[in-house]
Amino acid sequence: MKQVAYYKGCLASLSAKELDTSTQALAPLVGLELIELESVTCCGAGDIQEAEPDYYLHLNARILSYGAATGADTLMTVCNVCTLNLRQANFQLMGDAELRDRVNANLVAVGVPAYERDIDVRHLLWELAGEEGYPALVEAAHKGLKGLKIAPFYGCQILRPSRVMGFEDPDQPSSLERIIEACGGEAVDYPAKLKCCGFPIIQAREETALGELIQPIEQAIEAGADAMVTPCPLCHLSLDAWQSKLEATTGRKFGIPILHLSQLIGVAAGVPASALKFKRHVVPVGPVIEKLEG
Amino acid sequence: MLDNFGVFRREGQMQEQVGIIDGLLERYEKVVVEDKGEVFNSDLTQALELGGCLELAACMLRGGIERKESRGAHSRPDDFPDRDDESFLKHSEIRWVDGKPSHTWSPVTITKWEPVERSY
Amino acid sequence: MQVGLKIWRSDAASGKRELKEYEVDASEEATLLDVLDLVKDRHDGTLAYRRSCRMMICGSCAMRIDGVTVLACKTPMKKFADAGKAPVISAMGNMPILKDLVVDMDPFWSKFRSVNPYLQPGYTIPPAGREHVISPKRMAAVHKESLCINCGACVSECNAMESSPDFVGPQALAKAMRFVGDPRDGAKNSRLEELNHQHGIWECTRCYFCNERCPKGVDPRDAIAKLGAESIKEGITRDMGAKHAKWFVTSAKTTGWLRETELVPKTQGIVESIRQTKFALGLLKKGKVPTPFPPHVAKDVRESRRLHDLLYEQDERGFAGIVQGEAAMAKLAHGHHDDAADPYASGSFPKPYLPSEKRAR
Repeated sequence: MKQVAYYKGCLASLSAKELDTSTQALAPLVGLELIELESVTCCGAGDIQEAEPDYYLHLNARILSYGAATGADTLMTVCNVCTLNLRQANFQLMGDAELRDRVNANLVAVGVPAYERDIDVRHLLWELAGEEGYPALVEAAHKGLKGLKIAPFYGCQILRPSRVMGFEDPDQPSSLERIIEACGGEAVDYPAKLKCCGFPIIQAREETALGELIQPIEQAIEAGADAMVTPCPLCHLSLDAWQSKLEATTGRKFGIPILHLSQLIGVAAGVPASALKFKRHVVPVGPVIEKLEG
Repeated sequence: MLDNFGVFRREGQMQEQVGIIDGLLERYEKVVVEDKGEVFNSDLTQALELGGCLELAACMLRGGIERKESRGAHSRPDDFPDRDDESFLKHSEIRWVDGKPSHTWSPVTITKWEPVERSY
Repeated sequence: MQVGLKIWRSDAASGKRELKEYEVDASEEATLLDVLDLVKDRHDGTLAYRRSCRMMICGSCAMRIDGVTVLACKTPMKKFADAGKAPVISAMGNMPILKDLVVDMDPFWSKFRSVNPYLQPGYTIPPAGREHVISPKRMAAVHKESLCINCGACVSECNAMESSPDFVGPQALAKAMRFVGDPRDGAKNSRLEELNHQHGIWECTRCYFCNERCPKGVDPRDAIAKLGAESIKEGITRDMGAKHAKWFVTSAKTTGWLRETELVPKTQGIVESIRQTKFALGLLKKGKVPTPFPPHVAKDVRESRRLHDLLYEQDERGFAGIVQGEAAMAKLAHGHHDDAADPYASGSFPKPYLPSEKRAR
């Protein structure tokens, strides 16, 4: 079992609880032992970076510090935005001794251990698509998805900026496709899979965001997908919860269910429905499950 | 031009280059512009610029041949290696007249700085 | 080497569009620009594209190769020739195509002009005979933004602009930051007021395409974040985007986790929230609207609270808070595609390192 410090982030704690429950249920099946971090806060999304960047750096340094304190080498995330924020903060702290000293002095002053040991921040996606985790994934996904057509939606911040993320080619990624295939599904290709879902501005500039959101949804449906999968709960919120808004503004029907990554793998690995919590989705996932079981 | 008319110039090469440019100017009479469009026609602009460059090259060669000394970036190491203020402290002016270069000299106006030996 | 290209030819006048294939023999070091020059010279003089310096400084030759906006003069063709692949070359996005690979940059230039990209005086006159001294460290705040060559690659890929064509865009905003952060400029606050308009700072969707594509390392998205930070620091918080961002700060220092439910009225105001009731009820049924009471408080949140107070005294607020991390980030190379490395193998990450360690690069 590989021990990882587990930082779930805001959405998995609150409105996207299904992401947390499915991840926790899946982890032991794929050889991951999760040490859940509790003395942490929101990573700030893009917002604290834009409002109070110094606070963003310190909040993430605190998360990294508590993560490193568990003794694990990896801090695992389940959200694109958390991954970018933590990785960026990590590079800033590790690459600048003076800055790190200042931040650590502040951390220690409020009772947080100093962050000295570099911990590797990785998304669950990378854990399972990577060389080490992939065989465990293949073995765990024994139930299979029976050729179900899944459209992968990456979401911006797991790929870009690539010098911070760096796991794969940002213009030709294939981690999601690899995982879909390992789970026995068929990955469906469409142009907007690497574009933005619009979530960061879905409140402040709704019309602009919806103009972005419609692209992956209509393209995935047109490509014949049964469902979509995404590694980011924010994208999930846009794609799932805001689909009804898209229907209202365009007068069209969509109805394509959206799965979290851990749920997709969970289905293939036989994780019970009580942990997958599909009932929490706005667009019903039922039809897809029936298709699998029928 | 870079081979025969760079910084270091020799009579033989310059004369050869005159022949080359004259030949190109003749061919230029029949230059073909493939792009017949009116929007962003870079084929046409490049063809026009080619003509201008050829005329300019011919003028430059004339100036280089007439100036029988070395001065700055015009260097004639084989036949005229030194600067000759007595004969050539004057401006070369070349105009394009009747389809060929026409060369004249004009006097230099010296105001603040007198020409001196170039030494460091 | 033999290199093939498929170029999208188009003619705005006639509206015709077709994909044409070409193949040329080029040197091993040839760039996309060299190959285009060969195509135009040997095969098809009607091909239109912009170019000038051929050394990544004039910004003329931006275009798309397999959908990715690049500078043609910066794109070596060897890997395509070796793979036997002929990439598809097309014009930049988000700007109307005039002909083939040439786009109408007028919208680009007018957005650029709209941010008043020149110093507006207001600096104090230094004592007689002395120059106005500004430390390199202070000017470093606008170092990256100063690198912009106006090539348009960022604008070409901007997802927000694609959805909302009036969005002022990453290039204009990065240029604006170049002046907002310049200590000699006297108009900082009026600039920020201007930039907080409907299609300004807060319409950026944070897709990071601009950072990814910029051939000079300007990082426009970070420049936009700097503008946001400085706006909030100067108390310019009328925009919903600013209110949204501020609520994250409030959440982090009170409950640690984001107070999601209250985010809506805090961002959009009570009236708009009431209009969203039907939509909200749909979410509520699925448990997607966590109840604000009792508040979901993270463990040891007092540490976060105390951090916030401590940092307030240290005042690295505004864009300074982002600039402070740039020295470290500069060590990460802009250049990610190492074809030799297997992305799924261990050790493929750009690893952070302690300054005392030697870099294994």
